[in-house]
Amino acid sequence: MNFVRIIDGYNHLWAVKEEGKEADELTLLFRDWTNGEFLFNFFMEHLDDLKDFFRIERIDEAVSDTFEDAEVLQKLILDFPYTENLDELFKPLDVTDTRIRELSREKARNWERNRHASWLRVYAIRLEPNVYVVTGGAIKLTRTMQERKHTMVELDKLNRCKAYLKAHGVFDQDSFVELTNGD
Amino acid sequence: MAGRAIQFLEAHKSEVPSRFVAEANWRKDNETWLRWSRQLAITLMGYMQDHGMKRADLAARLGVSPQYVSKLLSGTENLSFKSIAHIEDKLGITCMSIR
Repeated sequence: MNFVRIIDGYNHLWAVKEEGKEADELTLLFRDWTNGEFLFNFFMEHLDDLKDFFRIERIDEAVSDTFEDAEVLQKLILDFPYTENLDELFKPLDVTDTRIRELSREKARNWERNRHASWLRVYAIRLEPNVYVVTGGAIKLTRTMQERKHTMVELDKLNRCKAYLKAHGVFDQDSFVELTNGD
Repeated sequence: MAGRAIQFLEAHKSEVPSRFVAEANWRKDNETWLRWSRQLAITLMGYMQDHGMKRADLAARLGVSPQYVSKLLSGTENLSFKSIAHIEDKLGITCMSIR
């Protein structure tokens, strides 16, 4: 597993770059989210979820909202000074990640969307305060990630990256300090 | 000095740099005409859903290739007025309205 720095000269945001994939996970994600044909096919395939969970019947509406949301999320990731406060943008994935924030699994989305909650998710592992590695992302239309194959794949990617970092002895700053003190 | 986590990421850095910032900047620099292109794509999607059409059906209706329809649906195609007029005439819809 390899990694790329997202913004030159800044250490806070990284992404996984899988061998054999054309680009890193964050780049690939936004290519999909800004590609109307990808979104059309996705929402056609998941139209029942769109209706059941968001009460949206129109594909054109869903695609339009996604374009809008992707733009906001891109801005949140890139625009300073917000981009230097990623701990504000990312939140723990679930309760287990809240308890121990050592390599915790995190999600980012546009938290202030009007009309309906945002379904776009960027998934990442938190390495240190304000240091994240993006593992992927998804259009999440269901309550849990386990309910659909495409979100399950993303959960696996998060867990795989966490396991990889753990196996290589990467801890967050606090844990590292604790370990050092313990010695 | 960089923390241990950063040192690890540096040591395992891909040779292929991220394109995210460059592509995001391109989208930002081109956002005005992209908005027009997206508006057209969204209108076509609404038409397809209303008529139960797939990409190939729309291609046949427009007399173009399915690959060309993919470009139209992507919302990133820089079309001429003539091309837009052709689509509007063939489908009997209005894709773009100037306010």
